[in-house]
Amino acid sequence: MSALSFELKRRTEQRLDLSSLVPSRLDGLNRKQIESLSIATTRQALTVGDAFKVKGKDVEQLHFVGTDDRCDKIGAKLSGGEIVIDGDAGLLLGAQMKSGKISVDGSAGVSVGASMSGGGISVRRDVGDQAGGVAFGETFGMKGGFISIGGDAGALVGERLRRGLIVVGGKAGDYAGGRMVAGTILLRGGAGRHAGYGNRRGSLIFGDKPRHLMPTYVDSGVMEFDYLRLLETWLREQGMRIRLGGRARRLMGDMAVLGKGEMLILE
Amino acid sequence: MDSALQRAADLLAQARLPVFGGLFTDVNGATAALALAQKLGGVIDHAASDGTCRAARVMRETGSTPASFGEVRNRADTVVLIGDHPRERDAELLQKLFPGETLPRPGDNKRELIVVGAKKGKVPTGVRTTEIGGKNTLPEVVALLAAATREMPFETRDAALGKKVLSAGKRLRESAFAVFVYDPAELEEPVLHTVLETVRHLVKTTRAATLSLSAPGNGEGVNLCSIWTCGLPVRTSFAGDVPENNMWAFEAERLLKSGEADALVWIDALDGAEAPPPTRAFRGIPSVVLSSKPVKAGRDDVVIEVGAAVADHDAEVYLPPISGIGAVKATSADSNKPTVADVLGKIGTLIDEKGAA
Repeated sequence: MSALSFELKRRTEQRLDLSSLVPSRLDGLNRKQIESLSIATTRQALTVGDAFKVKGKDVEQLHFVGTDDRCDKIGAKLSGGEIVIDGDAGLLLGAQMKSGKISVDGSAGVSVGASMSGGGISVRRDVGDQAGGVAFGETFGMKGGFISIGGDAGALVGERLRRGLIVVGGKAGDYAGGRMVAGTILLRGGAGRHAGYGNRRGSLIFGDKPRHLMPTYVDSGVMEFDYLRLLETWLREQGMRIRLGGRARRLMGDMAVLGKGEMLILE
Repeated sequence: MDSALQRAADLLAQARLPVFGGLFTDVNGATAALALAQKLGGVIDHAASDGTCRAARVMRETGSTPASFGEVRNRADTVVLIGDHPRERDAELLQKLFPGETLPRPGDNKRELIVVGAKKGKVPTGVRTTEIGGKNTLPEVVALLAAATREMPFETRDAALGKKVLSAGKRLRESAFAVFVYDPAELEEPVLHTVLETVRHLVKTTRAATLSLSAPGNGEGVNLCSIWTCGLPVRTSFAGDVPENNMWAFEAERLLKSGEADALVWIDALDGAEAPPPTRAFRGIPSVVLSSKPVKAGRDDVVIEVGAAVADHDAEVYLPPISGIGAVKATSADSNKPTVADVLGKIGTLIDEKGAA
């Protein structure tokens, strides 16, 4: 059975709420019913059929084509299946998802994977602020799963992160890992100012020594970490060849809050 | 006037997504704006909502311990002033917080002021003051003070700064009632969070609280009005089946710049305050402007002169000295000018009539 695909006809004047286009909500609907689902975010009516050419059948395999930064909430609350996006995504991509896989060929907006609890999101290019951050009504950010960002991330990546792993291939903005509670963020291209601000028990791993270090992180020397080797192996299993080695300089912090978090700067 | 109201009703009735911005108005004006936004499926945002939204978000996620202005003035033995905004917003703030005579306070400490990450400024005479700053940024100094308060280690090459921070941390632990005073518009979320965490740490052994400066233009009053009306703070959209709040998506300036909003209702009608207009306001986006001040608007925009709340008519607004909403008598009582609530109510009626016809 071929993937159910949604090809954007043209850029819309209003933002689109695509949270209804997930396998659990599409299951059992025929083409006509799918095309009549509302995706409007203004009082001007707009349905799936107005904005997208719909093809294919398999609701477990969704394919978005030619989408742009106004296509919001793709894969929000996803609980299984796979979504491939051949284009960009708007805000709240994969927010509060529980399981399944989302991959984006372009960039994504703010709050990617906000308060997600499982599954994986991969964005080939850049993402907006607060990736892995807090969805409205939640008290924690990402609570499990994996986010991989090929390009740059905006400010506050991993805000209130509770569990799970975020990998940023490019540069992260200010306050990377700000207010994080636990979990891991791997920053391969460095970060802006005040990384790890308000971090309680989380781990920030830097490929290179960051330009700005918070004075409330305390140097604990260079150590061997089996954990880094395990992480390198796990990433390889996900198809990401990232050399971490086993040695890193460890800084403990943020002493301003609890001080049980760490920055590992790879040797 | 009637033709202006009709033009406003016509303009808004055909809008796809009208945004209600500015909102420098009293509680009645805000209630009317919310009602019209609900009717039209619009978005509401206040012109000074940056700080309000941040403070609301951090409080929602981790809680906070606020104190009222009077409580701080009368009972706090240590006041920690963070950043430049508080004194820029009110040059007499510290004089008000440190009056010559106060009520009996808890503890035996003399009152003390700690100024964190601010430029040199006026401090009250006769009050022991410690200024902590140096070359470090405001977020760094806040973090250093938080670590020192917890007796946790930190690293700084500035020995004098280190000594001051340690002494301030000790003072906070020994205070009977320490209060942190700040403007949330100046502190980014992680910094705000760290201040609140420090208060949470201190209250395990003593008393501590925060005094968060309210947003200008009755921002707090409008925000509270939004919360008691629909359960959500400003930056809320009424376009869907249920109201939706999003700090990024429903910010007025962004909606106008991106072209997602196709009509603007701009409200600037509060005595003593002027709403900074968004850069795209009155330029290309069809606008209905309710203002008590002279306005430069586009040819097709509808400008309706209204009375200034508090000056031209009695008003309910948020009053920082009582940390609540209170009724204020008009200072000049020019009853010829309509209120924001009157005008928006009439526009709503005209839209209903148009729909019925």
